[in-house]
Amino acid sequence: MSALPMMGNLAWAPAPGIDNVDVFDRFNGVPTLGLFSAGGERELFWRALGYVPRRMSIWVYMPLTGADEHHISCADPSDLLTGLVFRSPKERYVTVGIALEYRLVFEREWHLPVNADPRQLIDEMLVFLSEALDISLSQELPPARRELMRTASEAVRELSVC
Amino acid sequence: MPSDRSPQELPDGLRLTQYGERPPTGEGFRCRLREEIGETEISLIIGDVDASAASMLVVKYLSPHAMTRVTSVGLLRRAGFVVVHSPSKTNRLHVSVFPPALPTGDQAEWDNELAKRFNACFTEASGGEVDET
Repeated sequence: MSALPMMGNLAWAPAPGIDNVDVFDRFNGVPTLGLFSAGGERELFWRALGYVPRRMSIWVYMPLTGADEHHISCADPSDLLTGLVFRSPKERYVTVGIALEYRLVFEREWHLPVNADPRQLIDEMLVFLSEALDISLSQELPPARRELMRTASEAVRELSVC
Repeated sequence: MPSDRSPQELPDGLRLTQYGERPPTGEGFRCRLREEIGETEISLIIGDVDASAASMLVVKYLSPHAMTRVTSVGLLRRAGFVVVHSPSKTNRLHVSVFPPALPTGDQAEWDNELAKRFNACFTEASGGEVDET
């Protein structure tokens, strides 16, 4: 993936050198689904969980192939994510990010589950994020960064039990 | 109901739905903008939409914590809010609500008074963010 989301960037425009953002949907004025282009790559962004406690939100970034873009152009606009993110027919990597007030504070590459329905996908993503944050917290971190990771971890755990 | 992505004139009698989520994934219904983090409008949906359908439109899956409340275009307009149809690629029923316009042409600040006025337009005034102090 050449357009890696970077911490500190806006969650819907997360990579450096973005030359285009195509917003497919928004909520309260915040882009929640769309495509961005950076470094010659096209990538889908989607706010998977927007109401996470403590002003956090969880985002998925998927690098797109030509076939993916064809899927998007042909799919029912109200159901773009099925066959791409939901019920993916093949193994693929995405990036999941946690944003605080829509600025990315944590990101990790994640193996998107095959053929997962939305509930299963969200559940597995939260388990992955919880484990990834635990690993981060087990390392040496500056105090402010540690506090941020602890807050993110608590928010993800709250979501995981519901 | 609009049949494409062209913005339509919204009659006063048209019902509108607001989407929210119960804790822990949500904080109820938004009743004001958080401009400091990029919120520029309050999003509503054309029609009296149930929580499941609203969840599919807004978050793209069925959230078990989804909730909705209902108002009308006329109620919001009589309270001073600006209400416009603003369809997106994946939600052609999207409606934007903006603060009242001041005589100067600027938008009014979305303060506590405006938040209370916004909540009062709905079937259930359960927005959780009015600062009563």
